[in-house]
Amino acid sequence: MFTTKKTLLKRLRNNDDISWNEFYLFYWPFVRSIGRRLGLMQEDCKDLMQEIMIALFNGKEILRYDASKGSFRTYFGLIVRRKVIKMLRDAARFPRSPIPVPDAPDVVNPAPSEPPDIPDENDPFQRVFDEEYSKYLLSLALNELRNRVRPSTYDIFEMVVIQKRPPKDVAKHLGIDRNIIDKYCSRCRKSLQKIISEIRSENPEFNPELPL
Amino acid sequence: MSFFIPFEFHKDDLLDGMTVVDPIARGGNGDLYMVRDEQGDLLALKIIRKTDNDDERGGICQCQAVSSHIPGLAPVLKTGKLSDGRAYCVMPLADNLARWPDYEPDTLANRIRRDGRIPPDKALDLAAGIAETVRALHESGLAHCDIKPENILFLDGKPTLSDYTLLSDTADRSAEGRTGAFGTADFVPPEMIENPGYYDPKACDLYALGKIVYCAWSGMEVVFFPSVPREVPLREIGIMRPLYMKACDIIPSRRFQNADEFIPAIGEARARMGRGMKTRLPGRSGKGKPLLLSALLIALCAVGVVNLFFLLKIRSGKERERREAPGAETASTVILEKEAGGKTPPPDPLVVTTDSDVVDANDGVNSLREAFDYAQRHGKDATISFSGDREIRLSSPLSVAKDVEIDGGENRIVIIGPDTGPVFQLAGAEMTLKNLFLLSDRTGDGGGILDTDAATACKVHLFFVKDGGGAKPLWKISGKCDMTLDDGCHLHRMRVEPPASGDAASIRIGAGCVLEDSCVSGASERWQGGRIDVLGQMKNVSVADNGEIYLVRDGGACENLTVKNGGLLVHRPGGGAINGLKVEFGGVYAYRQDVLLTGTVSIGGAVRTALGLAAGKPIANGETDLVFDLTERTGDSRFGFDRMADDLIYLISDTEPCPPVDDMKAFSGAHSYAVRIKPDQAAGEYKLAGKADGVAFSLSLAVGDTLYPDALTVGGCFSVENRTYSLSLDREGTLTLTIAASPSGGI
Repeated sequence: MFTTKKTLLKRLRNNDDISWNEFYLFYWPFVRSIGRRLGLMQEDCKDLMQEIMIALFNGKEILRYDASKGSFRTYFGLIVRRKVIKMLRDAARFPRSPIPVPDAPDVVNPAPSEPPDIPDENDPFQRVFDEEYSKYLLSLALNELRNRVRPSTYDIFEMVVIQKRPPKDVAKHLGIDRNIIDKYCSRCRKSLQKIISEIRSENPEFNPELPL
Repeated sequence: MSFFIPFEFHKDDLLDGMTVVDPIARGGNGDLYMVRDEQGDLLALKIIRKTDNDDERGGICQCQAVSSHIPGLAPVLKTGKLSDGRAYCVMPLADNLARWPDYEPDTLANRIRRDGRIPPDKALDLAAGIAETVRALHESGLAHCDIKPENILFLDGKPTLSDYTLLSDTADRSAEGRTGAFGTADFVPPEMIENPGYYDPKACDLYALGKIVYCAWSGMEVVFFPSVPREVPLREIGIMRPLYMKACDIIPSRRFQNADEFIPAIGEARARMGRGMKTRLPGRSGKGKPLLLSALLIALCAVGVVNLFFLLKIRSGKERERREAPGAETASTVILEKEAGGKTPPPDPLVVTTDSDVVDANDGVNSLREAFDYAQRHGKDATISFSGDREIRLSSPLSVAKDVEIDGGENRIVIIGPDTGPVFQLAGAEMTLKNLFLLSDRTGDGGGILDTDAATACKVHLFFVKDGGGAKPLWKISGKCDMTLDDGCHLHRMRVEPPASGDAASIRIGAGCVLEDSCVSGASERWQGGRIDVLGQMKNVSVADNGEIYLVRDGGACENLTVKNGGLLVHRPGGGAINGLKVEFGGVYAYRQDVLLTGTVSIGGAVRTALGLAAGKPIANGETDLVFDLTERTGDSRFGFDRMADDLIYLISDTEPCPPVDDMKAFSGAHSYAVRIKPDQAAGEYKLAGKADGVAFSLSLAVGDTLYPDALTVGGCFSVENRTYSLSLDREGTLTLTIAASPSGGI
């Protein structure tokens, strides 16, 4: 389904090898967002990422996810939850987090000593995780789109549709005909919708608000 | 990067007289340590990881010599071997981005990671410096092969290229198939990743340089190419974007072809930046003029290079005139006289001095036929050359039974074949033709080459060979010929047919070559038809009956290609555009990535995406950005993966094995491209469930547990394990798979 290089999305799906570096690149923004929303500081988020990766990679240079453990999303969510709770508890014991986040859900006290095996939608952690995971899937979808279309098509789409730069200005500064810009954007929209529907077939809850 | 495998050496360990201070980093091909030498200087020592091939060590041996005379390369101070045979090299320690005693090497990657994007003028300065180094490397016949931000070190604040342990002789690398992994994936052009046998180190360096410009200026990781952060002004993007987009175009011919093209483009961007960004960059307002001056200087240099080129050209012309002047032919008769004397076989070359087509040894006048017969009789690897311009008319074909090379050199050599029949008739030998013009006004077939020996494979290499066109097929290749066209060959009317048994010819159209008015075909029912790999250009070429054409590289737009009746045209990533593609009944056109073409798809013609092209590779139903301008669609034409009929056979996906099939007739399922057959399936005709609905396609077979991707096209056959499988499609759209006993096994 995917072109030149197998994408992370596909390899996760196929249980292929994923390198430490690649995993870090794609999951760091996701983990950082979750950590920040749950009240961790930037430095704590880095520690969180490190902890998660050590748990996931289990001492190896590559990650090959075992599908018998259930969906990667659930498994990954459990690991993140455990690590976040541990860090928040440590922070409570040894206060070094001076900036509380007002709307951060309290995932420490209501949580059982061990996280449940089945995600609970009413669980505050699960809510944050789901929201961020949905954003993460959208970023994967965009990355997949980047692999499917020409670079010169993708960056126009990104500037106009994602970054909301005025098409008129893009056309002027990049010396590209306005009709071409519209054509590129239309092509990318179509491809992105296909990609999203593919992701949705495996993640039915994924229903991103597209800037289309 | 790895956080798990500990470094092999630790603080205070001794390495060939140097003391380890600290491990620094782990790269793809070795570990890097900070060491202190006997004088107390801190240095960087890289231990090359042991590999099956000697590429790294071969490169390291060149490092010391090269780094001393090419500015911009990190100097190699010392090389050596550890007791276990691993090579190492010692370089100056890069500047420190951290505060001692901590150490973080000052590389472009670490700068970007720490400080974010680099201002555009500085990014362009950096790119210009690296480009100059790359140019010097390429002019020395070498290439870096692994340019990336991690390998750009700052020594005393100056950027230098390091880690050139993959440094290669460009000729060696580009000529031979690539077996190892060279470079870093996102810095290697896509066509080289897709085609492991194809590697062009110079092109790779230039492509990587484009990515360097992008990474440095945007501050993004290369995997996010070509995304640019929201805060970057459009005006700046407008200046930088053309540079890295051109350098990293997916179509090779649209990129910078050498550093001499790249450097002026950087200068131009700098000049534009100087004009456009003056008010945006505080403290840099005085730099507009120097930038303009730099651009002017570069332009003057470019003019100088052009002048130098013309000077050399004029000189070369004069040299040629001098050589062609009367009296210059001094050794014309030596060779055959030597033969008459019964002495040892003559040295190369055999020199032809007459236009007459005679065999008349020892007359003091050497004809082509004389030299040719001499070479064939003696069975030596002989080269035949010419003493001056010749127009040689043959009375009968030259039969090539033993290896021979004919080189016209700088002369204008025209070989005119007999009234009927070919100039050369091949019989399993290796023949090289260079700088020849084969004129033909044939009334029969085979004006250039006629190869009819099905039993013995022959090899033909053509360099700058042209023909005169004509009405009849000039190059009839019906044996197991392995033919390569290189360096500006321009041929017409080639007909590639399969032999009575065995596989047909395989032909490679090299870059800069053109093939016109030709066809790849055959009526073989059991064997593969001919195959052409195109790195050059084709015009008016058709492929049918098991024939295959692979557009591998963009050598210019191909024109008027027709795929029909069992023919297969595969448009690989990087393959050139097609103006006028016709996909007719039974023909399959397959592409993998963006393609540019205009054409028509008639009833029964199929356009498919992402065939499993590599042997043994599972089929992937890829979705790509297809630019398909159908100027005319006829009848019930279909194109594109998502419009393929839904009721064909079985699915073998990337992720799931094909379900077991007990009954051949029980086929069902959607979007299916392959069928698994029991090895002991009874012979007979099996109509495949459903109808192809006007779509022809190629079918992958899994016989037992073995998958043969793209083994079978409509009208084609496939033999394995003493059985032959063939696929046919009637005009009703019914696909029939026929299984028959085969006298011999093999594919």
